[in-house]
Amino acid sequence: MARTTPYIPLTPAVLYILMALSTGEKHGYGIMKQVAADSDEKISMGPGTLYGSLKRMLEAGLVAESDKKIDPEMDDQRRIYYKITASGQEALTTELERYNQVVSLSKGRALLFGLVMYET
Amino acid sequence: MKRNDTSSRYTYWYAKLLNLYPRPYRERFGESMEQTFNDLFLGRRRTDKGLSGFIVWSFTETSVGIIKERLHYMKSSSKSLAFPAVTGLIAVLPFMVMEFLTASDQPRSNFALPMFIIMWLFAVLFIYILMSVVRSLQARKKAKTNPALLGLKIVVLAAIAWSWVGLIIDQIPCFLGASGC
Repeated sequence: MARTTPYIPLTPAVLYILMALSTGEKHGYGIMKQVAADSDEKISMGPGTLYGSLKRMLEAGLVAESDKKIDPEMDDQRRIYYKITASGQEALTTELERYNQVVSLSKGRALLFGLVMYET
Repeated sequence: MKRNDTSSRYTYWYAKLLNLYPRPYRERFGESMEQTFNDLFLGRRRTDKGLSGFIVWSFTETSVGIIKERLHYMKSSSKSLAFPAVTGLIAVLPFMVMEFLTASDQPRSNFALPMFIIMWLFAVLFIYILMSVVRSLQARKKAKTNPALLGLKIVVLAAIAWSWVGLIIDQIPCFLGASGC
């Protein structure tokens, strides 16, 4: 399928939020926990950063608000859940393809410059 | 899980901090941010890490977010006068410079300053109403505009422009250094 969404460089916060939501809709705290897990605790995101990013992502159509419901693993408070949209999924895919291309390019050049690349 | 006193106290002050966000943002995300902060606090308490650093970091991080949103809101707010004020000053500045450069040996009366202030106010008002008209025309596609109010704004714009141009034409000789001004 041809890509119709223009390439959007994603900030690290937006990228990790989309990665977190790619596994299913989540509320704010759930997104934070997933981001921390995905980044091995290297990305520490507070409510200010999270909801500032969510606001812009909602405006850009990358995510959407889902139902307000109770998280059975937490208390009985109802929380707003967020989900990734088709545009968000496409933006995420485009960004990951770009990363993949850069990694492939760097591996090739590492052979030229004598750098050691470790496979993870 | 019920909140204990410590959690409630910090959540209370965090909620107070959230009041500094612009109203639209606060109404949309305030409750969620408060919930998330409380979730983070309780999660932190379950670990053996201290709370002081977390509290300082949370409040600081959110304060930075408030500043960012306030700046973003000011730039996009239809009620902001900063842009019309600066633009109006730029419009009047050439005439002020001309007046200054062409001042005759006999200094002009103090009349000039009130005149430039009036010119600036006219320009600010013109630009402010023009921005409102543009937004109304854009909103027209969504049928949110009042035609009568839009028409009145256009009439006022025309009147301000007519007055402004008339004042400049009348004062051009003085700007060019004519004597007797």
